[in-house]
Formats: sequence, C-alpha cells, structure tokens
Amino acid sequence: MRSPGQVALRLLIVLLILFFLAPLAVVLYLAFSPVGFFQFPPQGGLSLQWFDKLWETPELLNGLYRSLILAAVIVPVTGALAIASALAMKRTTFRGKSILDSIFVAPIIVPSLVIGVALLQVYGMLGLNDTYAGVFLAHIVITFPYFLRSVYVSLATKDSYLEDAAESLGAGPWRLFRTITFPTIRPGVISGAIFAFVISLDEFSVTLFIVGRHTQTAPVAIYNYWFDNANPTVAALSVFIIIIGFFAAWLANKTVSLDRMLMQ
Amino acid sequence: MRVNRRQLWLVVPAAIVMIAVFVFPVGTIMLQSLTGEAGNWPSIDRFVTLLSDPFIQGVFLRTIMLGLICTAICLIIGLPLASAYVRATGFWKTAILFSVIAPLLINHVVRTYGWSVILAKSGVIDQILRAIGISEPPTLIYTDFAVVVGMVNVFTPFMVLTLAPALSRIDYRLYSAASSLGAGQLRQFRTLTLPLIRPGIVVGCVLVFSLSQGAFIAPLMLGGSGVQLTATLVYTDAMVLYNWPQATAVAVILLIVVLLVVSFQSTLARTKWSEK
Repeated sequence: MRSPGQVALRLLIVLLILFFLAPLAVVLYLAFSPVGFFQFPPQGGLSLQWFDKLWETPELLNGLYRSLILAAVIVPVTGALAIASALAMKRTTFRGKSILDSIFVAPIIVPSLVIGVALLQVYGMLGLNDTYAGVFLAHIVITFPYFLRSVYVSLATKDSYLEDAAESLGAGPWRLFRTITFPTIRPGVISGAIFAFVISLDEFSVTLFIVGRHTQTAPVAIYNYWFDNANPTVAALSVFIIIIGFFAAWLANKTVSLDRMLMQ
Repeated sequence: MRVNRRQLWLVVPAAIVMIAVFVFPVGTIMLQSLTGEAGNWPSIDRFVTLLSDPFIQGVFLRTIMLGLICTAICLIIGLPLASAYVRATGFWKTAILFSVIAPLLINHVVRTYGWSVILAKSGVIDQILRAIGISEPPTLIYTDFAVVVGMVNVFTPFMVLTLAPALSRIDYRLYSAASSLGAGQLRQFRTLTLPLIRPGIVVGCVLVFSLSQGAFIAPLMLGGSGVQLTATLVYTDAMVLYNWPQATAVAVILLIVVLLVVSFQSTLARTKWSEK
C-alpha cells in the first residue's frame, strides 16, 4: 500500500520529468507544426514545410555539416592526445606533473566564456579568428579534459602485471598497446569518444566568439538564425540534434552505463 | 607500479596544445587586465573603476543572487529526483535517466530555444493561461524568472549526478532500524539521510553555483536586454561595444570568482571530511 506521501512524491517526479522534457517537446512540436508558432489548444495536422525550408537555408544546413565533420575529426584527434597523455601521466613521474595535471582539468572549471574571450584576443593576433583551424584547436581544448578523465579512470582500475608479462615475452610497445593496453581501456575510450563528440556538437560559448558567418557551427548558426528570424526552421534543424543527442545517450547507456560515464 | 621514463614523450603533444591554446590565451587576458588606464603595468586601476561602477556592481550582485536562487532550486528538486533515481528500477529508472540526465548530452542552445518558445509573449504558457481565462498573463520572457528556469533546467542534472552516488552509498539497514524504532519518513530524512549526504550536497551546490556564475546561454536567450548577467556583460562588451579592456577585466573577475568558489569547496573537503 502506498502512503499519501509516496503518491505525492511520485506525482512530483512525474511533474519534474515533464519539466525537463518540455523544451524538447516544444521544439519537436514546432518542427512539425503547420503554422509555425504555438497554438493552444493545438490544431490538428502535421507539416514538413519547415524541413523544406531548412533544405533551402544554407546557413543552417552548413552549420550542421560543419559541426558533424568537426565532431568526427575531433574524436580521433582528441582521443589520440588523451590516450597518450593518460598512459604517460599514469606511468611516469616528472617535475611539474601536478601542474600539468591541473592544466589538463582546468578547462572544465574555467567558464567557457572566459576561454572564448581569451581565444578571441589571441586568435586576433595570430589571424586565427573565423578560421576552421581556430575552431578545431578550441574544440580540442574543450573536449580533451573529458576524454582524458574517461581514459584515465579506466587505466587507474587495471593492474599492469599483464603488460609486464607480455613485455617479458618479447612484445614490442605497439603490440603491447594493441593487444593488452587498448582492450583494457576500451570502455574509457568509448565513453571518452561519445563525450568528445557530444561536447563538440554542443559547444557554443567558446565557439561564438571565434567564428564568423562562414565558419559557424550548428549551435551558433541556430542562435544567429533564431536571433534574426521568428520562424521554426531552427526547430527542424534541432530535431536532428535532439535525435543525435538521445542516440549518444542510448549508445553510452548500452556500452558503458550513462550515469557512470557522466559521474566520473 | 611501472614507471617508464621512455613514455614521457607521450604527454608532449597534449601539453603543447593545452599550453598554446588554453594557458597562453587565458594568461594573456589576465596580464592584459592589469594594464592601467594610462597604459601603465601592472596596475589594478581597471578593477577599481569597474567594481566602483554601480551598474557593474548591480550586474555582479544580480548574477550572485540568481546563482544562489538557482542553486537552492536545483537542490530542492535534485534531492527527490536523485533519491527516486537511486531507488527506482526498470521503467522509472530509465524514465529519469533519459528525461533528466540524458538532456545533458543534448544541445544547450536547442533546449534554451525550447524555453524561449514556452516563455515567450503569446508562447506556450501565455496561451494556456489565456485559454483558462486569465486575460492578462504576466510577462515571463526577458525576466529573472525566465533566466532562472533556463539555468535550473540545465544545471539540475549536475546536482542529481552528484547526489545520486552519495544516496546510493547509504546502508539501507539504517532505514529499517530507524523505522522499527518509530521514526517517521520526515524524521528519517532529517536525522539519517541529510547528515549522511551532506558532503554530496556541498559538492553539488558548489558545482551548480560555480556553473551559474558563468552561465551564458540562459541569460543571452531568455534574459535579453532585460537581464544582464556577468557572462552577457562580457559578451556585450567584447562583441557589441568592442570595449576590450572592460570585457577582459570582467572576464578575469568572473574567473577569479569561480576559482575562489571551487577552492573554497576543496579546502572545506580537505579540512572537514577527510577526517571522517
């Protein structure tokens, strides 16, 4: 039997779930809306006109393409840097290691906006503003700490006897990595890769400062279009981004458990 | 543990990138912010001028106030969510995971765009209120309320993720013991749950508060020109007014505030809970 308190708690949870789903539900509703604004009570009928409009709006479509290509490039590059650093940080000691450790986690703590302003300033001197190279470097900095942490955690939980054994049997460093080290850190690499992809796709506060109309990523394109126009073509684009986000969450949950990945 | 000095070079590429693209730029604006009004260096002129400007003071105060309100709300709704998440199995666990936590992986701009539609003049709430007979619904968009809603929506998952492990570590036999001794739900929460998860609460609150101080998308899209917070002030100075000295100085103050909050928490964690 349930007490009134438990019923109230259950009701509260349902309301909170609705609160968190509301903005996504509204975006989906608008994307398929026949009129282009919210009507209450909702009128019947679905329409794909905003998707048609999206295909004719290169500034939004190109933003999405840029973001997807960027995220796809960021994952292997940040991954290589993070795996290499995690191995070195785990196995070697050197002077200044703790300082480097702080530098490697700092971009999580420093507000993105501060990084954005700082990059705008330095990129200005180097001519990197409004270039793909500039965006690419910025996204490495933003995704690296998360990827490093994921790999480091999976590395910290394993012992290295297997590696010693393999090495004493004559395995070279590359073979050692491929057959022993990589399989044991694979969960960390998977969650790091999902993290890096999603964070790169989501990044707005740094990117906004350093892109122009011809290099803007999907979130910046959505913001700029939303700022200038009142129609829900951005909602149509957002549908793709929401699907990718939920797919990433599902994939993370299936492979490494979503809450564990995010809690690290 | 294996210590292998030959592997040291593996860290070099990442160190170069992080120093060149993170430490150097942030260091540059920190040094630049110490340039005085007459070009002298180092000087704290800019900070003195900034912090004595009533408008800037108002912006900082408002950011701190909204941050505190946001932190309190995140804690109040994060606690039941985290405890429901820890206890639930099957459908409910998945429902909370995918509705509350998974949105962390979904674009902040997209979610805030959703809120802008919900809170807009003749938006979702406005129309529903009119439909049930309220002829003059209050303006929601471009108010503190809208900004807090947007921030709470984005930051609560962090609170839930911090509280959930703390809650799941509690030994459930304690609850059976407490209820067999006649303690009601509320008393159990107050005397058992709360003290045991206090470190988690502190970590969660510090995390959400420090995130709120740098919050940018919510004030930008839901606050408009009506609600100027620290982050939007930096943006306006840098990208609209081209007031570089002020943009960098405010950004540096924001950075210092966040670092102070975070170091406060780690000091607290060291002194108080390391003994337990």
